[in-house]
Amino acid sequence: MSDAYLQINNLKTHFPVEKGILFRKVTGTVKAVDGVSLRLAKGEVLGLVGESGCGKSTLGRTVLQLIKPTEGTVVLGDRTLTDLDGKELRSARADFQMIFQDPYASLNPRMTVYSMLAEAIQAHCKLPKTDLAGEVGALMEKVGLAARFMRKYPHEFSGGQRQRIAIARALAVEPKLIIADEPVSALDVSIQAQILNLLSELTREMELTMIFISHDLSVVKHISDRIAVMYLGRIVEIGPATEVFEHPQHPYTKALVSAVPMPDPNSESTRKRILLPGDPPSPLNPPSGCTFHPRCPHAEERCQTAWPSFESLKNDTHVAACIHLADVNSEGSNLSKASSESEQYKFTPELTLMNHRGKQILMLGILGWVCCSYFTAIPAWIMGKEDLKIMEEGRMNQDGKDMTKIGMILGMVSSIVSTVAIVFLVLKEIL
Amino acid sequence: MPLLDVNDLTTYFHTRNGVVRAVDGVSFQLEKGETLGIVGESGSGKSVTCMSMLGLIPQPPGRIENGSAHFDGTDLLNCSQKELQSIRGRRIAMIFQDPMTSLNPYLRIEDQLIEPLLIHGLADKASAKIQALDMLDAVGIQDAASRIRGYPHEFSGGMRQRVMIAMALITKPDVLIADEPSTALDVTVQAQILELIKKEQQELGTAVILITHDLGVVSGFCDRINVMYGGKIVESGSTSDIFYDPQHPYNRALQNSIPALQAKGKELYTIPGMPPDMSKPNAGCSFVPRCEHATDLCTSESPKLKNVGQAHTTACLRVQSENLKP
Repeated sequence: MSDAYLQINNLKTHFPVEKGILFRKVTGTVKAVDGVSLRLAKGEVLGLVGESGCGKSTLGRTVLQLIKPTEGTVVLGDRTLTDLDGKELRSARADFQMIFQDPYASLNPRMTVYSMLAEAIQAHCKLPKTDLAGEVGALMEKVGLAARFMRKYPHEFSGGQRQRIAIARALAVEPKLIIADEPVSALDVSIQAQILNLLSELTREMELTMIFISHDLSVVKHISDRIAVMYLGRIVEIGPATEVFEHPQHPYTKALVSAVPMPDPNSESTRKRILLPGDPPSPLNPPSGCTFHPRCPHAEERCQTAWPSFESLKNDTHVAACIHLADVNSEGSNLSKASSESEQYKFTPELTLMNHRGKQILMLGILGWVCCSYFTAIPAWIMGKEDLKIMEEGRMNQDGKDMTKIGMILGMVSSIVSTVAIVFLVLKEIL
Repeated sequence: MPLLDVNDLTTYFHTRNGVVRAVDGVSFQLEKGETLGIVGESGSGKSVTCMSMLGLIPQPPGRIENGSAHFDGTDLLNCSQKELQSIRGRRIAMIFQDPMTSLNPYLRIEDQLIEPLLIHGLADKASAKIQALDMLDAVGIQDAASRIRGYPHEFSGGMRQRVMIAMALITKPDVLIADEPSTALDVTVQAQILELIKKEQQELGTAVILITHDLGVVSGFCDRINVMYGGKIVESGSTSDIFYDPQHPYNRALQNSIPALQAKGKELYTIPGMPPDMSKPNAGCSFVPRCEHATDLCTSESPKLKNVGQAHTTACLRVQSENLKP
């Protein structure tokens, strides 16, 4: 698709994990977003679903350049956002705005609605002060708030009304792209429907392109044209909303769709749930190959080696990243049945290894020599002994084994030498 | 005779801004082994109802103004602290919403698990430890023998909720109150947890009260459902009655506003206005300002729960006078 309005090319956002107080060292990277490519046409609404920690919010923020990507490009219209800096980026921001999850935290409690919206309007176009009130009023009416409330503070509004203010603020600069990060998750069901209606109405009216991030599949299905499903920083399936919801292809999407509780007792009692074992793995230490394989009911050996490429199904618009889509779907019914019954409670818990204390123990051992001190030498022995025992049980990182051993021996020897020396000196005095 | 018989329970909070009528005359029964769902928006009084029964309401500002809750011959609201303590945690257990904050981070899982057994004198320490291990196994924690020595921070959210369930069920209670047990969890983990509660319920024959705001969760889980609005039960009935034969305008509107059931592209039905301010009571039905069927009578007379079918009651004057067809 060359007519794409928003292009995201192989976007990666990695966060380094640092340790240490004075000398910080990178000990690992969290691959929050790991190679995401998306194309959005103008006026399209894309729903982004996934469990918490799968990187959907990070993807949203990276697209808006609130977080600098590690790799990849974001192209909006004819501008490459990833190349912009400072002033250019600031002025470009009028084209893309964000709506946050929690309307209680995203509005400044010390500003009135008027000053909040006026600030946003003035940031991007100069208007005379006299016109400003009219503009703010129009904006408020657009999101379904009476203009007479413009001198009120956020605390005087309810959650749903606050979310309306947040939407108005995002729309103030007449953006082309909106990223809505869980905009209805903090709201009650009856209010949720109001905000969803408002958003879909506005996107239609203003021809907004929107990425709608949510963990709630049924909400996403309602509002989006297409749905992208994310798992551990990657998109595993993308396609037209009803298609993905009604005929999910990737095993993860299947489980996700089957886990959504339906407010319909009859279908709920007959429906087969695919229960995924365990929890989503840590993005700090993702499984090799297809990151879903430890929880996948169809996983086999080749899944552990390589990340599958997208395979398109039926038509080009619906694709999924799984190497045996064909098998999964042909025998899908009996495979998933088997998994939902027998593998329900089979877990492969990932043991988190304790960090070793080798360095500290070694230091204590050396200090025992330098200061001839029992206070450091004996603890070195005791700590070392404890750690070695835990390492034997396999609960601690084995890397520090040598250091721990040397520290222990140093400590022990230093205390023996000190003792011998003291005894020797005392004896010498007496004799 | 029902296992738990709550009658006209009324809990008010006396705050600086006036009296908040959090629970206003709630009555319901719970039979042995039954699953009862309590559904409502935030602030509708569903949690306060259950907390009041167990004496967990901070007093002041809260005060139980009226009512009784008979559990197996004892009135929970008017018995001594000692009696309440012997029931709470042993015969009525509770699971809270947020597994991240409801476990003590300083104590090993084992110590927290055996605490209810030791406090209620159900077992000595050695046999309590064995029971704790069995329970942890039963809730699907692999490698329970070594995990039991761990601290809460070593467990993920879903695992912690499993520990909470194990802790609640270890005394084999007659009633389990689950207050939004899966709301803080991911969808796939939520499915695991609900399945687990169902499995344990069948094994132990426990009655469950499930408090949630998610109509989807109750539909596959509960035998009966109470819908609450503004501190009152507005409709009560079997699961299929509530979903397929909704009577109260609030219940009908609520179901029409769920995106899951509506066709894509169609505008969602919305309930106009906002949930009621509980510190400003009105004389009539609390749903009047948002109700499209409200009449003058509704603003002056407070509706009572009345039968509209077999074991199906609703508190709406217009439905009761039968000039309102669904």
